[in-house]
Amino acid sequence: MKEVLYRIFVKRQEKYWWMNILVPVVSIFIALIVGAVFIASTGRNPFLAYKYLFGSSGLIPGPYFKSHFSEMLIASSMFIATGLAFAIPARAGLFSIGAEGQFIVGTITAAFFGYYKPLANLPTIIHLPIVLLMVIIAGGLWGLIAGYLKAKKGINETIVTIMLNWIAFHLIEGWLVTGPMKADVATGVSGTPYVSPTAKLPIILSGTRLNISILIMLFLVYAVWFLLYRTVFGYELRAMGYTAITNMEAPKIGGVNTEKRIMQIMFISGAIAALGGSFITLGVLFQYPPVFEGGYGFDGIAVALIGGNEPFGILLSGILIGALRTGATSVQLVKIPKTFPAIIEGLIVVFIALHELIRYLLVKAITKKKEGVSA
Amino acid sequence: MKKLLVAVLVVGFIVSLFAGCKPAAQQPAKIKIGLVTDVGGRGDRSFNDSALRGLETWAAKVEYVQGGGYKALSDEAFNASIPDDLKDKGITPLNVEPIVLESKAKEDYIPNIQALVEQEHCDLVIGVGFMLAGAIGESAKKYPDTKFMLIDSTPVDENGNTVDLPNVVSYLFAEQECGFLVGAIAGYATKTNKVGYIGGMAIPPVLRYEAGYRAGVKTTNPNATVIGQYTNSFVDASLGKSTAVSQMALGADVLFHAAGATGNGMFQAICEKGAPYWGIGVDVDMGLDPNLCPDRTLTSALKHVDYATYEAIKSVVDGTFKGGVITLTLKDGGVGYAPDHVKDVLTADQISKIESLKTMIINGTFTVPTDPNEVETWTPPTNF
Repeated sequence: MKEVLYRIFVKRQEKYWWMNILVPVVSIFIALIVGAVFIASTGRNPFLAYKYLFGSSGLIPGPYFKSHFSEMLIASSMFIATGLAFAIPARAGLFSIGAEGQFIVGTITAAFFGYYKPLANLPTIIHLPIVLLMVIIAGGLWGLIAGYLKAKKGINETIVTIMLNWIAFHLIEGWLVTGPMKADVATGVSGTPYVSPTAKLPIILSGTRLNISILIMLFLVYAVWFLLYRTVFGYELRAMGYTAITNMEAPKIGGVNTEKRIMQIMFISGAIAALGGSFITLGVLFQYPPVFEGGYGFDGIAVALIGGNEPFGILLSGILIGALRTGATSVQLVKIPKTFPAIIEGLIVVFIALHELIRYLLVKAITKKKEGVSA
Repeated sequence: MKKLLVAVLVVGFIVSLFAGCKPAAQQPAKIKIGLVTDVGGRGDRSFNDSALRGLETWAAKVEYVQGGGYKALSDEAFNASIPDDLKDKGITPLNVEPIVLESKAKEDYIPNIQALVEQEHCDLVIGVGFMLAGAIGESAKKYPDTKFMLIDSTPVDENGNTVDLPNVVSYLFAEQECGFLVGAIAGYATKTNKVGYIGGMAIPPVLRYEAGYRAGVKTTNPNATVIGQYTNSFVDASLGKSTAVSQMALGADVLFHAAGATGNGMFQAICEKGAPYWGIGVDVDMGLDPNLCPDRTLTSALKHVDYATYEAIKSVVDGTFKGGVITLTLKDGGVGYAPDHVKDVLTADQISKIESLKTMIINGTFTVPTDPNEVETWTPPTNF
């Protein structure tokens, strides 16, 4: 257990291991305080804002806790997916921001195999795994495009993934959803047809929408941790990350097939993001809607940043961002715009990005105290 | 270590502070009306704002304060908010309490409806737009004691089948009829014999607009061609602007949009080009909106979402609410066209022809096609 905690939080060889937890927590608190100042400056009550924001976020027990809690976990599982999708390449020194595109590729793939007639009569136990497998393959291949170009042609993966996001977006919303995959107008449905009931994710808490997506993500968080710290693959991945700035010379000399690894990493990253996207189709909307707001892929970058690119850190930050998203709309009940929680999220990211400064101040404050005591 | 202990205690204290809070129990003195906007949200200047006018301005007689909250509305402002063609409908305040939840994403619709029903105990929950068809269908099944109103669509259940529920009233509009009239006006107004059409997405209400518009142009100006495009977005004003600019470059001099906030970009393009280009607004009278382009707004295809919203609220207040589908047409004033600059462009003879077309539709002398593909084979009335 101690070793696990050590692996999770002690990667920087901090003098105090709890510094790795304290820095994000302090950053979040500073963000909440600054957010309160924003609210107070418009003449509204910041305590009321936080009461409604967290009261319906699913983090704190209260009225309607069950439904808020399940909504929070539904949102969190998607943020954890995109967070992991960003973090895995990031640990290998690859800055992939293609989770947004891979996410919607997963969403549309799940929709297609969900309503595809020849599969529709199979039992859930067969149909759902087929759909998820197809999602993993499609999302992985979408991620692999950037990985291949990076590995074989040396093309910057950041630029390629940005462009692939737009290609995915226009391919899906501009063509597939309004063209070949459009539902029959006579059914009164806009967007793609609804998926067959056998493709829906099983509900694990009756009376709510909570489905097995969070269990899948919990397993994946563990799997990614195992991959990173318990396999040769993970060792080589981290070695690439540490030497990314020197073009991965050291691992190459050490016998790591970096080209192969880059492609594998991008495939895994794309597959996880796509899996997150499939949760939308199979657990929430049951179709690909004509307009999909998305944004999960980009929020995933924030999730990975807050979580320090660590699988278990991403689990916690994914839950935090999921909770903010769940509580977001209810602040309108106390006359605060729905964009307020997005401000909080942005502030958290800002203060996390400033973590070196916060770390420095914290270390200074604490060591000063200690010296004072010993002196 | 002491500092850490203090920090932990402070955290614990703050958390318990929030946990102890419960929504204050209050007895509802007024009938509560909940409204969930689609992702376009407040400030789209057309569809959502129109529904909000029906609820906030007319039924509740309050004014929204930017950022959140309401203040009372003066009688002058109330009277000024009612368009001329609805003056005789007897719109009076209904003493209701509005609770509006905007949605950040499509996933928010059901949680928002749930909050309105379970937390706020609303008597009527209004879903604005076809995008809420699924959310309203699922929720109405779950909460059979709450009344629901759905605008522009009929409810669908979680398997995508249209359902008929006793506690849901769906308001549909004959968009093809008002689209036809503005199309007829555009047919007279064009000098280049080319008119433009910008659609948001190819969904049934927008397709009805397009069908009516094309039929209208065909009726008054058989030689004119319609340059039609779909932007696949209701929210992208810059895309609307570039689409409008390219249509003007192709020679279109009268442009009509049914594209929500995307269409705001069309008016921006027209304002920058100025004469001889004309724009035609949609859903609400955009010629009255100083933020768009009132000087170059020829007319607007009116679709009284506000009136439909008001009627549904009134039925709940009166206790006459009944589930089902209600289609508002030219005949009952649910759709129409705005006068704006029509007088400056069309001759008196042409205006009287437009009016007689309107009468013919009301009397059922001819029907306007609802599918753009039917316009090709549709026979327009003659002598226009």
